[in-house]
Amino acid sequence: MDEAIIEALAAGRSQAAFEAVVTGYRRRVFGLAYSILRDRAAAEDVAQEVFVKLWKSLDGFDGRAQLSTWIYAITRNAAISATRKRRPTSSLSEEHVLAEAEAGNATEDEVGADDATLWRAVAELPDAQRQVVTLYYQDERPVDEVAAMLGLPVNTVKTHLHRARARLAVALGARAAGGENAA
Amino acid sequence: MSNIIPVEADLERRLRRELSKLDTSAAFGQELNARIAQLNSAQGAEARRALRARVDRERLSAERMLRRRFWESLAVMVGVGASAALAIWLVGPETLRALHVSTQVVNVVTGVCGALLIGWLWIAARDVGRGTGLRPALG
Repeated sequence: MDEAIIEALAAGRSQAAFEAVVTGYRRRVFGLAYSILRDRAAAEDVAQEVFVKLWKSLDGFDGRAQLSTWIYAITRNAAISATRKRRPTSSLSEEHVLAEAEAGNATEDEVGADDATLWRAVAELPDAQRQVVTLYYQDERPVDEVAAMLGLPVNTVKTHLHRARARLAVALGARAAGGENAA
Repeated sequence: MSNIIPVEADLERRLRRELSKLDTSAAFGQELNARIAQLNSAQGAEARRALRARVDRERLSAERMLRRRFWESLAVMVGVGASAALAIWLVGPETLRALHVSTQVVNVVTGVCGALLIGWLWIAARDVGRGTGLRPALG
């Protein structure tokens, strides 16, 4: 995909190159922004902002870095910047995430989820684990691609994924048990 | 017990099913196109303003250059004219006598030279008064 985009750029077909970028990276950019922001509207705004930035600067892409690396870095920066704008004084601590997860089911409602329990359990994961799980399962991506998206080493991603699965299994198991006991 | 704790395969299946729903809204592409079109039009207006400013700067610069050349040329002509007049006054009669030229021929030549000088001054003054001769092409 990246080769075709770079070839189109080299041939001066900027519009075709940009369209290919939007087609190829729309879900990835949105997924990455969502994994950081946990808010569909904000993630969509960030994705739009990222593509506008790409539209402005795609002609100047010199090919020294990988196109995907460049796009993911722009997306991460835009999402982190949007997070700071939304909560200028708060930190991204685990306590904060848990408090937000307790506050409501906005996340699962937003994406039209059928499995609210699962979404709640994912929302309660620590930031890094939640991001890895979101990106890994959104499109069944390979671990190395998730690592590239988040700018993390592959082994770190594997560790987060392993811990997240274990945590989800325990959380969902406990909820299932709780539900059964309550029944 | 086995039906209380979710099996790993079941967890995988649920995660894939739910998280694959993460996607942009259907209007994403249209909104993006609208934002880019808006940006294009703003950039177009900005480019036109920049071009107009550049043309104005170049016209002013050309006007200044033509005015300066006019005054330089005028100074040169006054200098050359004064020198010529002085030379004629000093050596003219002797030269006419030596060349056996009639006064009538001298008067005709002087008249033609004077007319050419006035014509040149008129053209130069008109160009400086208008700004520059480039204005119609730049306008």
